[in-house]
Amino acid sequence: MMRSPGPWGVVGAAAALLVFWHLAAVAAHSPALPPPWPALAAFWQSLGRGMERHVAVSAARVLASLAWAAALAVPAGLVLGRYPALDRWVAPLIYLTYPIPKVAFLFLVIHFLGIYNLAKIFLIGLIVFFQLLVTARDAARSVPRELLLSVRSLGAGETQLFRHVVFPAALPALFTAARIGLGTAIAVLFLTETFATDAGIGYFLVDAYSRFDYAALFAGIMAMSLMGLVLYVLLDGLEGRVCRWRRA
Amino acid sequence: MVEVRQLEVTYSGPQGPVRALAGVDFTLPDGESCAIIGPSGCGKTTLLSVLAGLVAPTAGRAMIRGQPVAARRPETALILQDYGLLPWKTVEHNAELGLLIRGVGAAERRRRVEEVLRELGLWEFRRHYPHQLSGGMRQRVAIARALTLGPDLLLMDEPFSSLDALTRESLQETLLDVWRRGGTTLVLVTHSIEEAALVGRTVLVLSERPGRVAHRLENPSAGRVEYRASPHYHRQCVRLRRLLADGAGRQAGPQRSRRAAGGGGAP
Ligand SMILES: Nc1ncnc2c1ncn2[C@@H]1O[C@H](COP(=O)(O)OP(=O)(O)O)[C@@H](O)[C@H]1O
Ligand SMILES: [Mg+2]
Repeated sequence: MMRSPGPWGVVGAAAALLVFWHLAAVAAHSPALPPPWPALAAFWQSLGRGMERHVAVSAARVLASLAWAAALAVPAGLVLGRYPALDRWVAPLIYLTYPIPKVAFLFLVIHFLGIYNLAKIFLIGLIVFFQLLVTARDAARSVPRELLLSVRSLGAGETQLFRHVVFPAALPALFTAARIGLGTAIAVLFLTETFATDAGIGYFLVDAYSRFDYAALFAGIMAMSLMGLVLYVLLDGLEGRVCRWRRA
Repeated sequence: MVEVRQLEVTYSGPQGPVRALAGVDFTLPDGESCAIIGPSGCGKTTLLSVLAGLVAPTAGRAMIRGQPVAARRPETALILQDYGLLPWKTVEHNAELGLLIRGVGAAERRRRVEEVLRELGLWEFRRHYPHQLSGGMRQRVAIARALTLGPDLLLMDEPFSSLDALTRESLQETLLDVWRRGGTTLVLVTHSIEEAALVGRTVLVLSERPGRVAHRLENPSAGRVEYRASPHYHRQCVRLRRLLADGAGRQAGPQRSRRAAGGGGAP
């Protein structure tokens, strides 16, 4: 199981990145790649001037996307994994649609869901949905037969098997998928925030770029990476609580 | 009473039908103990699964107390060799699972779980997860989980085979203590001659697949305290070893075409 980085790990990694960034900036010697300090200063100044709102809006979009994707994909995937007969029909559908870059449907999504939050949350969630669906299905498939047998012999019906065996057995794999999905979600988030919004880190980045304010641009990148860090830590914390047996 | 008549089970495997059991016949009065031994793959687990209501007979029947075995006979408990415990539940939560599934209230669950855990020496470990326990302790938890249900029929599939000798002996004693209190019919599948002779007042020797009862050894002293140290026990082990070598070497009963039927072929 992956553990959250300790505070010193984070500080060390941040320091290493800053050093690397500084060296790269010196070598590049270009206004497009400012050294860390002006960017850090810009980041500092942006706090209290809207950066918190951008981060909060972006984080809310990502979390909402993950939430709806998980709420649908996990039960559906677990059921598919438990019923191979059903999966035989659905699997081709999944494999046909899974590889399609969902971003290609941007125009469709906008056409039906408008250009605002709903469209963004739908599109981000759609990508995570498939990752969780396939993981949940495979995890449900690989639950040891003996476990199911022994719990069934205690009198468990199908719903109780899901509750006591299939779902908990799938949790570690689901958290791994959620971690991978989170990375994808943040990447797609940026894309969806480049249009039709006046909030979110993506918007902040595009805005900074259009003003050729490279320091602000990098301040936004820092904010994005910090947001990612916080979301990962939250996810790990949740996993630690839910999968307590794996730490014990 | 457990009554098995002309029991046949044929699985539909990927390479055609697999005949696991071919005409198993035996009866077992209430409160008795029975050990089932036989070559690997001869259908021992299948037989227990039928008694547990997890596998339906292809032909013949299995009755418990006059009733055909139903999928969820609440008084039957099954203990498997491994994997019986849920890794994500602590000892106490594993132990109460059967009660929880049966809708027993929280207070009653706590009371019965505490009673059984204390009896089996597991109470101090109630907050542990299975992977924090030794194999012997885990198997103890599996027994505890079965006992919380107050079963009148306890089915065990090679429950102690992965344990070291001392742990196995101590668990065998625990099991026999429980059985001696009465009220529980015990059916134990094992591949250990010593265990079969120690536990089973009746020992059934199954033939090679498709399994049938090749021999039946009456072993009325089994289960008594100190039986393990008696010369009689050792003689029974020798006797059983001979029966096993004999029964495993060839098919019992009428020979004809049984083998062909078991060997698969056109579905
Ligand atoms: N679910 C199943 N589907 C198909 N074949 C099975 C199944 N379960 C067991 N078998 C086959 O039936 C035979 C008896 O199996 P089993 O009852 O597990 O034997 P034992 O417990 O004596 O080793 C074996 O050949 C096994 O491969
Ligand atoms: Mg077996």
